[in-house]
Amino acid sequence: MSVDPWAAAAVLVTALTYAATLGAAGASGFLAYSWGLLAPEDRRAIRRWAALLGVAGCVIGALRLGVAAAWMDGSGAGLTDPSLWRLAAQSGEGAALGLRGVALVLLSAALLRDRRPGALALLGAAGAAGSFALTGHVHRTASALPAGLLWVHLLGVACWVGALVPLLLIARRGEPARIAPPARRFGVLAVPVVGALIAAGVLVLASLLESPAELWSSDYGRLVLLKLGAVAGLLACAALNKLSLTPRLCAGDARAVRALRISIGLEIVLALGILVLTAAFTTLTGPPSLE
Amino acid sequence: MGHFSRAPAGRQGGRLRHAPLTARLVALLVALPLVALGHAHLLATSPAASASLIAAPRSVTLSFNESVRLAVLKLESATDEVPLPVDRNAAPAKTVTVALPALKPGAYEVRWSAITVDDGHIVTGRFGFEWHLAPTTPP
Repeated sequence: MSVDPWAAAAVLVTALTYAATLGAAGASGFLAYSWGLLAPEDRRAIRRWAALLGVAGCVIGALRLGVAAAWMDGSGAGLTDPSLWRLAAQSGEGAALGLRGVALVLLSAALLRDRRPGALALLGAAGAAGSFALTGHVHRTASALPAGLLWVHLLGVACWVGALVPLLLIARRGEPARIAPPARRFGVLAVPVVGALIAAGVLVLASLLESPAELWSSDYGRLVLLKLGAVAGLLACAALNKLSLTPRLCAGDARAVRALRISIGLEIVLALGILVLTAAFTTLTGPPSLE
Repeated sequence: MGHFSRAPAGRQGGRLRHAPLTARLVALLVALPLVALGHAHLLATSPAASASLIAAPRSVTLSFNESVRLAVLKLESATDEVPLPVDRNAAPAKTVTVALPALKPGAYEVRWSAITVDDGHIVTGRFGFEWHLAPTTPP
């Protein structure tokens, strides 16, 4: 099997763009719905984290164009070829990058102030997360519905995955009374959010595949199956957190904080794996019906 | 001159297609980002892949299953690289033709890359051909 290092770099940079952008959007959403439950130093730490991710999302997103240029050129010389950058930007990725940049700047700017993220920040979060729906496989379908469903899916992913590091930041001090209220609120919101993201994801997948058999008969489908396996692991961790650890935290069990940190750490690893898999099947493959 | 033919289509697919299911899954797990399968497919080339010609080709033509923009087209012989002009502002098209300068007899490799306009998927590939002077027949 031949190795194309620039294709590998494109997948990696795409996954990092997903992680930074969805992480920033989700962390700002987390701040908005749990602001009153957080200690001032936790708010500050989460604001800084979200703003940092916002800046990283802009920078890494722009780097994607450069990596695409190098991939097309087959060498690092493409990184300094403006016409190849322009070609990559004209492909639809440019519009998505522009929206994402504006949205992330809006979001990061709103987080500079020590106050609950308002409508502008949440608009930025929704725009940044949804920017990935502006391009990709869904636009090869006859209807605009899959793109809308993908937007819903992305918002759900941001809400879920973007809350993990903020929860970890709060749990780092090992105080059950500090982590229990935001963990409980996150657990309550997670039920409809995860339900919506799974439903939207299944419908998007159904619009892209002609039959379920394509899940195991195509490279695209097998990568999706791997992703679904990792999602199942993520759901198991989330169920453990909600049904077992959060009640123990609410009861003041200090050992539950350590268990929560481990569980969230595992969720973060799984989430990063899911983002890499998603980057792989969106960058390197396509649904057989669209080939 | 070369005729249009089914091309090996560069690195697009192929190699994973005939492996057993387990081997394919392991390959995907171990080397996920290493093979660009892409959406656009190279259907044919002129000169054909591995063609042996008795006259120098005057152009290279790539035919795809959907409209693309050609990003890079490089022609290399064993000794040097032949510069080729690529119009990156050209409208997307299923067939792209690039004129060649006068080529010396020998073996050449064409390396190309293209991008689909709607979703920005990149496809790459390479193929070779050679041309040599026809042997002169005695009168």
